[in-house]
Amino acid sequence: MIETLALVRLQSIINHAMWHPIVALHIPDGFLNFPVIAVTWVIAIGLIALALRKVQDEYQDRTVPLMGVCAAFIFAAQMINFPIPGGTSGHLLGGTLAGALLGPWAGSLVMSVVFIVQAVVFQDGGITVMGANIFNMGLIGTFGGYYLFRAIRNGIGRDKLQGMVVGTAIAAWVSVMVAAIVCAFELALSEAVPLQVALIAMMSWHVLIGIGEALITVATVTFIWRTRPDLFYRAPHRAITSTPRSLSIR
Amino acid sequence: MMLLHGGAFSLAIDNQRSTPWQDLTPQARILCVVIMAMAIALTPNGHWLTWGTYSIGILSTVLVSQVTLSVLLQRLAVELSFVSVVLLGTLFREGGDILWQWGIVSITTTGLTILGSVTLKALLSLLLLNVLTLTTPVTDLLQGLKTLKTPVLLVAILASMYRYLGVLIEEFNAMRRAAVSRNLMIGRRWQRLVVGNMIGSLFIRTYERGERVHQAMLSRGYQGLPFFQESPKNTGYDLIALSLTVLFAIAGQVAYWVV
Amino acid sequence: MLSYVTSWADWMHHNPISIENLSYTYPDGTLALKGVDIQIQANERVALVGANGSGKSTLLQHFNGILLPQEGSIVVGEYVMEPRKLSDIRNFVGLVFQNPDDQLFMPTVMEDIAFGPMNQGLQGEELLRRCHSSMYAVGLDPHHFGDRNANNLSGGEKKRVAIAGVLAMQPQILVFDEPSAQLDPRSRRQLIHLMQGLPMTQLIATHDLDLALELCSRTLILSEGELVYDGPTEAVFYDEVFLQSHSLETPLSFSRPYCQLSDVPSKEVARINHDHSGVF
Repeated sequence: MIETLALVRLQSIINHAMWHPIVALHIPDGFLNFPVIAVTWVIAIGLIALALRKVQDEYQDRTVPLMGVCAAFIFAAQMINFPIPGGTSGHLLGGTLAGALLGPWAGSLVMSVVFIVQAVVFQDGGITVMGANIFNMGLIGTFGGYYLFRAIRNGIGRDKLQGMVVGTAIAAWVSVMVAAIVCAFELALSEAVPLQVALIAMMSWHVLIGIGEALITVATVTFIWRTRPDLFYRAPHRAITSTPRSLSIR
Repeated sequence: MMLLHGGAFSLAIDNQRSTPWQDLTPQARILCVVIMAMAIALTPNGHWLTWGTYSIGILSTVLVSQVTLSVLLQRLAVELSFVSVVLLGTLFREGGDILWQWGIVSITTTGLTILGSVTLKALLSLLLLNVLTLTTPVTDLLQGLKTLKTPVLLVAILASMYRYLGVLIEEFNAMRRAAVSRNLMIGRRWQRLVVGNMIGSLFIRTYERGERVHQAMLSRGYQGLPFFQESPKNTGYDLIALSLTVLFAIAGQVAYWVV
Repeated sequence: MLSYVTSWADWMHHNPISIENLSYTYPDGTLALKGVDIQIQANERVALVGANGSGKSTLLQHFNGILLPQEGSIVVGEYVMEPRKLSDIRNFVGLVFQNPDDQLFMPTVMEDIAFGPMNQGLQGEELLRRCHSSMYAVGLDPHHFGDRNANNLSGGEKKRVAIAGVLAMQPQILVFDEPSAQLDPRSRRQLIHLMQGLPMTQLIATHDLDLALELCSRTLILSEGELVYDGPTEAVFYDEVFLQSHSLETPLSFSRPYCQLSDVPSKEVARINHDHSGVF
C-alpha cells in the first residue's frame, strides 16, 4: 500500500518535472540579476495597476467575482494534460485564450493573478522574479497575443469562425514563442545562461509547446463559439443582438 | 491528468504551533521572506561566504519554526526538479579554465561557478518560501498582502480565485470522469477534441458562476468596494524581527568582503 | 438560538410583499413573467412552485432588486423597488441561492458570514456578535466552524453557512431558491426544522413538493410566466389533473399510497384472522 502511494507520488513528480521545465516560462528565483529584476518589476506593477483601473472601469462591481473565477479557471485549465502530436503531452499557458475571452486588460490581469498565486502559494516560479514572469506571459503572452489575434481575426472577418480559429492558432503559437525568446534574453542578460544555449533550449522546446497551446486554444474557442459566442470579449455581431454578455444589473 | 497541486488546501500544516516565527504577524513574515529572498537573489555569483552565512540563518529559521521536515523535503524535491533543467543550461559556457571538453561542448570553471551559485540561490529561496507557506494559511497571506498596501481590489480578486480554485478543479474532474465513463478518452485526436470542449464548457460554466456569485454578492449589499476584516496590528516584536532580518542580510554581504 | 429568535421577533412588524402586474421580457425576447400579482402577509411561509422555465428564478431575482420590474410594481415593506432604494431593499429581503458554492465566495466561513454585515457598516465587537448569533441560529458552532475553509464543508454545512450569511444581515423576509436541492435526506430534514424555526416571512421556490407541503400552508404556482394558482397547499396537491396540466407531478407522499406502511399490516391482519378462525 505504502509502496503504491510512493510510486504514485514519484510518478507525479516525474510527470511534473517532465512538463514543467518545458513551461519554463515560470522562471525560478536566483536566475535573474538586479537590472532585469528591477525593469521587469516596474513594468509588471505598471501593467497590473493600469489593468486594475481599466477592468474596474469596464466591469465595475462585477470585477471581483468575475476576475476571481476566471483566474481560477485559467489555473485549473493549466493543469490539464493535453496530448500533442508526436507523442508528448502539453499544458495550456492560456495567455491568448484569456485575451480572446476577456480582452487584453482583463486577460492580462487574470494571468498576473494566476502568476502571483502560483509563485506565492505553490512556489511555481520565484517571487523575486515574479515581475519577469508577469512581464513575459501577462504582457507579451496575453496583451501581445490578443492584438495579434485581433488583427488576424479582423483580416479574415470578425463574424467568421475561421477568423477566430486562424487568429487564435497563430496568436497562441507566436505568443508562446515570443515569450520564450524574451525569457531566453532575460536569462542571458542576467548572465545565468549563455544566449545561444538559452535561445536554442527555449525555442526548441516551445516550438512543440506552442503547437499544443494553439491546438488547445482552438479547440476551446471553437466550442465556445458554437455554444455561447456572446461570451467572447468582442463577440460576433449576431451574438451581441441575441443575448447580452451579462443579464444582471447593478 | 495530474493534480499536482492536489494538496493545495492542506498547505499550512504547521500554522498552529507557537514558535518565535509563528508569533510574527503574517505581514512581518512576508516582509522577512521577501527581504531575504531579494538579498539572496542580488548577491553576485561566487560569493560563497555570503550564502554560507544566509544558509545558517535560513536553516535556523527552519528549525525554529518547527515545520514538518518530511513535508518540507518532499516539496523541495518536487520544486527543485522543475529548476534542474534550466540549471543545466547555466553550465555550458565559455570563460575561465576548461575542465572538460567533448566536441564543441565544454565545461569551464566559470560555468561551474554559475551553476553552483544559481543552484544555491534557488535552493535557499525555495527553503524560505516553503517555510512561509507551511506556516501561514493562504487567508493570512492575503491579509498580510493587504496590510502591506497591496491594492484591495487585487487582494479581493486573489481571495475569490483561491475560493473557487477547488470548486473548478472538482467540476473539471467530474466532467473528465463522465467523459472517461463514456469511453471518450480513447485515441489522441479524439481526446484533444474532448479536452478542448471540456475546457470550453468549463469556461462557460465559470463565467455563469461568476455572474451568480456577483448576484449573491449584490444581494448581500455589495457595492463594489470589498471589505476585509481588520488584520492583526504590527507589533514591536515584528519590528525587532524585521530589523534583525535587514541587519542579517547586510551582515551576509559584509562577510564576503571582510573575510 | 432561542434568544436570537425572540429578541428578533419583537420588532418584526413589517408590511407585506406586494407585487402588482409584474411582467418581464429578456433582451432576447423571451417573455419570462406575464402580469403576475402576489400579496404576501407578514410571517407567512409561502411556497413558489413551477416547472423548469416557468419563470420562478426570474421572479426571485425581482425580490432582491437583481432584476428591476420592466412593467408593474413591487413594494417590499415600505420600499418601492427602484434603483435608489436597492441597498435598503437588500437589507430587508435576504436571498438564499440555490447553490451554496455560488453564495460562499470568501475563503473562510467567518469571513463569508461577515460579508453582509460589513457592507451594512458593522465593525468590531458588534460584527462578531452578529456573526456568532447567526451561526448559532443555523446550528453551527462559530468556534469550530469560523476558520473552516469553505471548500471543506459538506453540502448540508455549506447550506447552513449560506443561510447564516443571509441571517447575519437581519432581513425580515427570506427568499429561498431550491433550498433542498442536492441535500441528503438527513440534511434536508434538518433544513426543514431550521426553516420552521425561523421567525421571518419566507418565500420558498422549490421543486420539492413534499417540502412545500410540510412547510407552507399556502402555495403559488407559476406556469409559463403566469401565476395560475394561489391558495392552500393541500388543496392543489390533490388535484392531479391541474398539476399535470402545468407540467407538475403530485408529491410522493400523495401519489404512491401503495408505498405506505398501512397497506402491509392489513394483509397481515387478514392472515391472523384466518388463523384464529381455524382455532375456533
